[in-house]
Amino acid sequence: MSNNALVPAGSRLPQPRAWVHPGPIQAQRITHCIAPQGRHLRIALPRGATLFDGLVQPLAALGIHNAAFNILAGEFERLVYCVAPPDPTGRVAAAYTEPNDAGQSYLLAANATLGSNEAGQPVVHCHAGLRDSNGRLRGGHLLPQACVVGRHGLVAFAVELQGFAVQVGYDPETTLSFFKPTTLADASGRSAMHRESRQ
Amino acid sequence: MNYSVESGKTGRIAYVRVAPNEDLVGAVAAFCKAEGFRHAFVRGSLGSLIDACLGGADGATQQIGGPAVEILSIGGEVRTQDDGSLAVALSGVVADAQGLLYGGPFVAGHNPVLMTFELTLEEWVPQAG
Repeated sequence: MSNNALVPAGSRLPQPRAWVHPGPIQAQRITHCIAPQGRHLRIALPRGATLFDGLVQPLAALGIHNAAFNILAGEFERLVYCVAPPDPTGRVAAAYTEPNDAGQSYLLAANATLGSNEAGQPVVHCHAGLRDSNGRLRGGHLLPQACVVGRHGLVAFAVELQGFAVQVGYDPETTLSFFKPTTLADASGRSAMHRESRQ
Repeated sequence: MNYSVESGKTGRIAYVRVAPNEDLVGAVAAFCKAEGFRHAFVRGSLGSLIDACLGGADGATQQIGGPAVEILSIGGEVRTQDDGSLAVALSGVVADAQGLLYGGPFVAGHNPVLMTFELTLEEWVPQAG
């Protein structure tokens, strides 16, 4: 599909496209971990905090290293994001652009996940819609270390992902690395097997 | 006005990764069915689609061409109906490959994942009686 289109009511929708990735198709299509419960938290981020520190540090102080966030709207002194157009090299389906610095902006809505990389360092994956300083609506993948909370602070609601880990792992199908749900045994490298949905 | 208020509590919390070419709405339904989540609240989820298909006014739909269409914010719920079937309602805001925004409900069967999709689902357990 090269263009956007409106399909009138009653018209047949086009078949959704499939995308052929460079690696072998993985048999597991839906992987998951389930916690019997998890703490719910409200975090107030102060002016001047980076989005990364503001989400990671308060939870780390509570011993929480895996969480999902709903971030409420608010002003930022600086918002930096990437979009993902088709990869010009054709190696993968889409690749992130160089960062767009939207400067002083208003975050409209955002969702994020806190997990870790292979080295155990915290990683925040965050997508957001924003209104830039020219009033334009834009959005994409935020660079949380470069985003700075504005003068009124910011509120995020978090739910702890308890008893398992969200870790960056290599995905053979796309040949890229993404967050994956990982049992704690897997996370510490002692055993195998993600749980799979029965389909 | 007849308002309906249901008391309940949050049950299990799931983090789900959906692989490429799977339908977003279908994946939520498949997961809930497999794991016995009768009702659920969808929160804190993000990922990319090949193309997006959003419900518009008066039954029209809006096609947003990718790749990639990034889902920026999404919310919704899963409800088990009286006949035992699952109703999945998801809506949200997406950005096209230029970063322009669109929003609306995701049409079932027409929102294939491009790279990965991360879902966080909270089971909703209504209070008996």
